[in-house]
Amino acid sequence: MLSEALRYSAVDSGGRRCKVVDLAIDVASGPHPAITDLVVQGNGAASPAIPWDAVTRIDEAKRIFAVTDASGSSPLPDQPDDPIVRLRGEVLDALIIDVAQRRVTRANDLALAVDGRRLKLCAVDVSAASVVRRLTGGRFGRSPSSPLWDWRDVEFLRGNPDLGLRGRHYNHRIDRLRPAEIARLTEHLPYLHATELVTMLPPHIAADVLEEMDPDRQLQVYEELDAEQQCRIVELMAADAAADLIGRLDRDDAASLLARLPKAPATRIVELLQYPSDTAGGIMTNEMVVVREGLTIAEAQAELRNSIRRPDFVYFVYVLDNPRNRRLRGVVTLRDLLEGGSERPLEEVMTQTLITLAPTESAENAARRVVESELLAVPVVDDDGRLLGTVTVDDAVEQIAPSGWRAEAPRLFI
Amino acid sequence: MNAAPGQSGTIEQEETSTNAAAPTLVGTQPRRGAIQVRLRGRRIRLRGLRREPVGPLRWLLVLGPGVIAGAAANDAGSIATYSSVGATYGYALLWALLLGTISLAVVQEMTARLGVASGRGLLDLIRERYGLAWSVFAVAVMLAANGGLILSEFVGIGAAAELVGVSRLLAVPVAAALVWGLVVFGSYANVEKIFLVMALAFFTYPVAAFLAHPQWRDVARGTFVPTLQPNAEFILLIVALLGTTLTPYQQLFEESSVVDKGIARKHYGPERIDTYVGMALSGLMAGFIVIATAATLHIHGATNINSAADAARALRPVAGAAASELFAVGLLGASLLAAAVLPLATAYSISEAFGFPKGVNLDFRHGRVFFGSFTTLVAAGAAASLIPGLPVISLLVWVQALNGVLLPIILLFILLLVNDRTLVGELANSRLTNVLGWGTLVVVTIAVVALLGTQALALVGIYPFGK
Repeated sequence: MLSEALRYSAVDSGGRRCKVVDLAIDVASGPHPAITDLVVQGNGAASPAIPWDAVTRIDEAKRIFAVTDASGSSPLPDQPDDPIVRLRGEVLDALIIDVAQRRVTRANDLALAVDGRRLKLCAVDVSAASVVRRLTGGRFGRSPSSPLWDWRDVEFLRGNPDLGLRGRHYNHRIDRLRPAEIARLTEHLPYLHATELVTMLPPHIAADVLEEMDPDRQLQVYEELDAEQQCRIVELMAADAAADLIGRLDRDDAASLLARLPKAPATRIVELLQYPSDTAGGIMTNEMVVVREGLTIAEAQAELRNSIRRPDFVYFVYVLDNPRNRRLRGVVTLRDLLEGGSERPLEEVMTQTLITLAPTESAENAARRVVESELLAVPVVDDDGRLLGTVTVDDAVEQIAPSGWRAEAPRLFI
Repeated sequence: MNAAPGQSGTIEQEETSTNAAAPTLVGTQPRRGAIQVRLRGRRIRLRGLRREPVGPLRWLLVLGPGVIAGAAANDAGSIATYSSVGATYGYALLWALLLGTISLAVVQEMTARLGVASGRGLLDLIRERYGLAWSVFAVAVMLAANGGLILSEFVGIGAAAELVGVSRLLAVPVAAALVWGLVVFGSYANVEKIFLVMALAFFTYPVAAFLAHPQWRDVARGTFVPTLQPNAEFILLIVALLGTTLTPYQQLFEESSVVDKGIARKHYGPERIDTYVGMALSGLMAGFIVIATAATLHIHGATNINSAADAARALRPVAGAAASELFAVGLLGASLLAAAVLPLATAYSISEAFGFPKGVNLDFRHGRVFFGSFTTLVAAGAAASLIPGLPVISLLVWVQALNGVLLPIILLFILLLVNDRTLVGELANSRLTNVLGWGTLVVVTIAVVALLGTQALALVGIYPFGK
């Protein structure tokens, strides 16, 4: 245990004795990183470090690291982006994430193990016994009272979003999780840690994570990102989620972000932002799959392969009169398209859409109508019957469910 | 049959239809708050953007943790101290209250800033920066002190309820259930709103003060002309006044609560208003309690005030039933608010120190330790307050001693942390706040040592300043 190792001294053959005050690891060096340096008590302000290679023997009875030279060399570098991490100074007592169990807690103690000539960091002790152990100087609470967290499953954050950008000092264990799970985890972290986590993820995953976050947390994290990251991530978010986020920014920030975004996403977002957030237009999405009327099912299938990649909601395919007018003719489901004979015209399997929403009707009302329709989504059309977007059952549930349920409600189209 | 290659354009994708014209910003209408964008030849007003709140509403919306922390400071025990100060010395100590309020505002502003800048509660930071031992010490002392205070709040609720003719056996359990249900089932936003409404109960004090017809000239002199009386009791009362004005749970609550509210670093500016308004109101209400009791009890020589309920009772013959009942309603609101804030602050701190999930927005399943400790404190406090013949006053003396031990330590940690630029960056303390902050720490430390010293000596029967 680290708490035990911190009661050791480094002693060299000349009998010089220095108290060990910290151990250092290279955090990016594999699942169980080896100790790279002993930090010992020095005379000055900076504590000198003894490289692990100088350690010849570990004497557990006398609590000694036998070293070739105990005077130590220069202190450890103190750049924030250095991969060298001090176990006591930075890891002990810090918040750590267990990726395997998707939980966050404080590291009460760290389990070390001798492996050949090296001493390795193996696991984190989060048990109550470790608190007792540290407070009583190791007299009580010697064995952990709950299972250790294997360091292999731990993601360690320093609460500095700038580090995430450089990205080279992480094990990226968090990448194993789904975006929604990462988003839930960030809610148990301080927002600087949450931002660091987002910045170390690939942009498309970061965008998905941001979409899933609680709105307040999303705003906090977004505002800690630099301008370039903001732009890159919002561009990759679903248009309706991006519009919701932009809708909550200060006006000047919203305007400058819209000006910086590439044309296509900016257009999609602007189209959504013209409606107040408490209307059907404000909760709809305008990323959906559309197809022109007059095609056969086979032709429609072929074209869908290109257009089906981007939208989250693909189950309903909306049939339009033509790309300019965008008048809604009807809807076909993916099932219709896969089942129907390939030479049949679309119109034969199409359902004429009877239920539509107006963009200006209240969001509450629209959401209820979607739920009552028992459809997965209801299209939003303007006075001339032009398709503007669609309100999915996800949007509807988010609108009318009590706030406590929202985080728990399953999302169908993610 | 497959569609022939090159037959594109039949499928209409969003991107192809809209790429023709990117949105260009036309401009903003500064007063109406709408941004206009030109898209495919059309001018579109973005109505979906956040509307900046205008007028007085804007100021109301930033109120939250600061006002609640300020209001919760005027709890049952504090009302007793203020009443006693007013009854014994009239307006003579109002200046000390003014200085105490300024110190409190400086400290609370630093704490809120620390919370916003670091995104962490005070116990989070103490654990991370100063280690396990300090955080366990802080939690243990706070648990004992806040436990005692929670008990005294429920005693206050019972006493206030009986003053308006409701049995405490009914009022205390109902109050406990209300407070518990609110925090466990409520969201942060709802809880904050209801707390703010509870804080409105304090406006009964100015009314009670006016009903007491004080001499406003004397009030002004007492507030702005510092006077010292060369007797030990007077000096001790100043110290006690400082002790009730600045309490550790206020700092712990405000920081955790600011973090729970999720205020972004960029939006810290307006949050200062929350703290300053909160502390100003807190100071004003304390002042009105002193004035109400000074104008009545002091003049009539009724100086033996040991609890807030005593004060309310003593007001009846001299200021009328209305003033007395207003006082009781204020006490009820104050105790109820503090009975919710204190266990909440404690639950936050325990969860922070040991890394458990925390936050009012969680549900019981996800925040077992957070809500578990909250529930235990509320239930135990309410149950213990119903024990007949409880020595509440001597209990409060001990609580004050514990808080006295904790306060300088907490203040020292806050000052060190809020000057750590690696942690708070640009939101670090300015020179002025540092002078005020360290000054407060020095005065508080002297005051606490003096208070604890006399209490310790009194325990062994020595009264250096006379009894």
